[in-house]
Amino acid sequence: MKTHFLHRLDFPLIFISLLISSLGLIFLKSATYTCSSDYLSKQMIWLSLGILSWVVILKIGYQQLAEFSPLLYLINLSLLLFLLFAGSPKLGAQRWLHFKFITFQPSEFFKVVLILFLSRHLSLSPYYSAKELKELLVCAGFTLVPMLLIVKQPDLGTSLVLGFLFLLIIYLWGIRIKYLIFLILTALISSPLLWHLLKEYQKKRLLIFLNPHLDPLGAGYTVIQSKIAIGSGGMWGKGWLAGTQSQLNFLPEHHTDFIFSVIGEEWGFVGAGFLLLLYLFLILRAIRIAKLSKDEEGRLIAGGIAGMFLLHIFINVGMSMGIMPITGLPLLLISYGGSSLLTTFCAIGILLSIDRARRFD
Amino acid sequence: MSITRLRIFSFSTVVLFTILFFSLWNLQVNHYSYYKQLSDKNCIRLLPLPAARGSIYDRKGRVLAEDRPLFILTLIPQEFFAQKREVREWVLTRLSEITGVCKEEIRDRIERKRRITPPFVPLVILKGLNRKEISAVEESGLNLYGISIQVIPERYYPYGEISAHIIGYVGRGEREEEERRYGYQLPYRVGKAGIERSMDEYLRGEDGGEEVEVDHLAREVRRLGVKYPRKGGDIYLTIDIDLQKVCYQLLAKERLKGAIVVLQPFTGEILAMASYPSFNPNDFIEGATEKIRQVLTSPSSPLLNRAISGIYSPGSTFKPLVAIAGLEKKKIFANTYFYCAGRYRIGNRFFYCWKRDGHHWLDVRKALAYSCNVFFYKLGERLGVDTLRNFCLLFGLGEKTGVELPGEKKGLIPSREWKYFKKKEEWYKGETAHFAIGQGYLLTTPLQMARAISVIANKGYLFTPTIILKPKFRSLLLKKLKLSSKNIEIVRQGMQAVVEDPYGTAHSLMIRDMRVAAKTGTAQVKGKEANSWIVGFCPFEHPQIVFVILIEQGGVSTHRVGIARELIESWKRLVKTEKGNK
Repeated sequence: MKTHFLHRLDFPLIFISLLISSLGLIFLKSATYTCSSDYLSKQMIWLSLGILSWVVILKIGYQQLAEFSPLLYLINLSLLLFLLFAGSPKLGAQRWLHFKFITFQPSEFFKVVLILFLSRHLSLSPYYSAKELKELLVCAGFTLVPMLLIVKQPDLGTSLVLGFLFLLIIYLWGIRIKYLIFLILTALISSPLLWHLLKEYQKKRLLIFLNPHLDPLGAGYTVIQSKIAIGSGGMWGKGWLAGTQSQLNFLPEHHTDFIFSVIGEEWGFVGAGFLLLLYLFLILRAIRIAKLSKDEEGRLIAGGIAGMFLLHIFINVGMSMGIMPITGLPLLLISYGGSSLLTTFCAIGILLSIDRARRFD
Repeated sequence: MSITRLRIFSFSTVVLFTILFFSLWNLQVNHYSYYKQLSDKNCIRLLPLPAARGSIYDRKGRVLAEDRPLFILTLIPQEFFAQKREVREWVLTRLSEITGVCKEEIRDRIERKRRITPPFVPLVILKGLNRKEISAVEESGLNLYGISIQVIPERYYPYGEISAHIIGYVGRGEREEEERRYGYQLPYRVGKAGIERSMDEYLRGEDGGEEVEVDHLAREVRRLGVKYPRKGGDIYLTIDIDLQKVCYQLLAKERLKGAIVVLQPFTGEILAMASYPSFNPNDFIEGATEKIRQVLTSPSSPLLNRAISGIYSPGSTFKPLVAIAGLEKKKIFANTYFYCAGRYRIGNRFFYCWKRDGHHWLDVRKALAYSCNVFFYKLGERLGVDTLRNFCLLFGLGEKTGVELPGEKKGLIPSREWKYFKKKEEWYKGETAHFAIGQGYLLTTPLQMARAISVIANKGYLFTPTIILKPKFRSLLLKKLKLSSKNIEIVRQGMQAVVEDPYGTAHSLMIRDMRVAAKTGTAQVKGKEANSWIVGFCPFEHPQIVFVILIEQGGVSTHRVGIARELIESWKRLVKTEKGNK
């Protein structure tokens, strides 16, 4: 039976993600108002590519995509390996692959690829308590390899996101809580051992990650400026393009990682709170799709994506307000950055595909 | 099962968002007035605390490079531009009165820099204020309008040109640390050449900074965070700056392009390494644009350290090594005599000795003393190109010596394979003859030659030369070569005869109360005057120094022996006064 392409789509999800990203363009305009580089047009191009990715993913379907996930996993892993040896240092990190006119960050895509891969793997071996431990270890292995490669880049934030996604997916799969606790305890106990293996500068970086005030001219400065920006926004904000803190370049990286500060300053509690509500709706919608999914695979994938969204938003907004350590995690759908935007759109495309499959049943 | 867990997941999401809402409320509603006031007055100020870079000393503790305090006049744009127009004009007028710089010029500097730096970062308006200017600024009350005086360390090289190639200089660098992504970057100094570059990480230290909250009178109210700077490490070089000065002036006073290396043959410690023409590293620090441009565009490349980065044919100074090869391979013995008729025929070509009427019969000692070419053509023919190449490698030619300086060149040792690869031709016998007298394709650096001659001076040890005395970054690297000490002694006697034989090529090196061994070399250069070499060591019995002198286009080396003589006599004087002081 041939159906219209737009038939049976989750329009609330489409509406909310397009709303957030359009708002994002408005915020980005303000954050880059004084910059010479044309971030806005580039972001719009990525946005169009993102929408295009929905069409492609809906055509393929999430099950097909999950079937390809081992291949995607391998491709992405080899890109990470390639970066390890040949990456170009930008801002001190080797995260980006440079092509002619775009730069591209494989670790961003890895989040979605890992979700697909682990969900696929676990859904093929339905839950039996006898196989539980074996699956746990296999998945842990598949997660640890990219984690280590990404830590090397060095990008601790993304690496921890992968670890979190792994825990979330095996939790949703149904692993016994005692194993989960055991796993977390092992990680905690082994961390002091790993500490000794780290080099001096890596230790320093971790300490600053945990306590930005150790580096008052670096991360510590940014946290204070960000808090001032948000705090001075008050209830109603200073108005679009009127945020002094961010407009005057007080705040480094305010078009990427710290864009929430610009929003808080210019739109106040009302605006920033509204944005948070939109995000909350987005995540709950994703969890709803997981609940309604017709198969285990879809459930795990949708759950994993919801978790990825949650973690990004919580950490990014949290660090802007000084309650979370500073990581390089971008603000979902809003921060400037092609790889991250496209990844998010692909993830939403997959959600749409999962939901659509249910509606056909 | 899974559905329950998804419910728990939804619940956690709501909890986490509640936390976010709560913090947002706390910042924007509860503490609004506090942050509003901080934001309005822009009261957060960053004070960089730059780390002092480590000093560099010579072997006797005399300063070769150090940080000196430099007073700079700065302006914080956000505080300056918060003033009314008339006030700003008044501030500029006052500044102009105090410093003597024209008002338009100051305005121009501010406008130019303002566009590229964040408003809280102090702009440097003027560098190097004197005491009078400092007190005038401090009394003027200009600090209310964002003007202040800061002290920053600036590099200074007391010996300027003399030690420029060894020490190098520092310049602006980019930081490559991840955490710099957030926050603001201090102007950052990084070594661009010489020891400053190769030991940059050790010398550098770590910059600190302070973040303070100030009130509307620019007084510090609260310190928000501080990171103290850590001073960089000091380095003592093996260089003796007195001897270095002597070497540099020997070249500079006659404007001789070239290099002089003096080192200790038993430790590999470099006592002096001069290269001419040179440059003044202080020009790079001050940013003297015109002088820097001259240095960079000069055809005689003053930045090049000719002692390690200049590559030259060694000419006849290579002959002692060939002599050792011949003795070791038993192609000749101490009492083997060859006849020099002034020329020697290989294939259908004649190869000439520098003395056209020939040296007649001579043994290896005399051959070295008179620098006979024919003797070495014949010896080279018996040894062959492969053996010559192997002995070059044994003496450390054609490879970096491993001294702690950047930009060292390898030079070149020709071989059959190299020739075939490069020129698509086989190796000719005539080329072996050229090789055996140190001409042709063979290329070395003066430091490589100093190391090779040291093997003869110290009777068989190859070292890795070093220029750093303290701290010890590596242990003494000494390799005993498999050479018979009897053979080395024969060559040593040959090099002694160069000086002591009345017809030796360096007879003018005869000095009272010290026996010197040496070898001269005149290396032909296509289309130019020949390069002259003088290598040697003294005292003969227990050598304390090995010296290598290279003069580009210096002509016949025998005429340049006077430089070596002056060098040795100055060294003797220095040793004497040192002993006297003790």
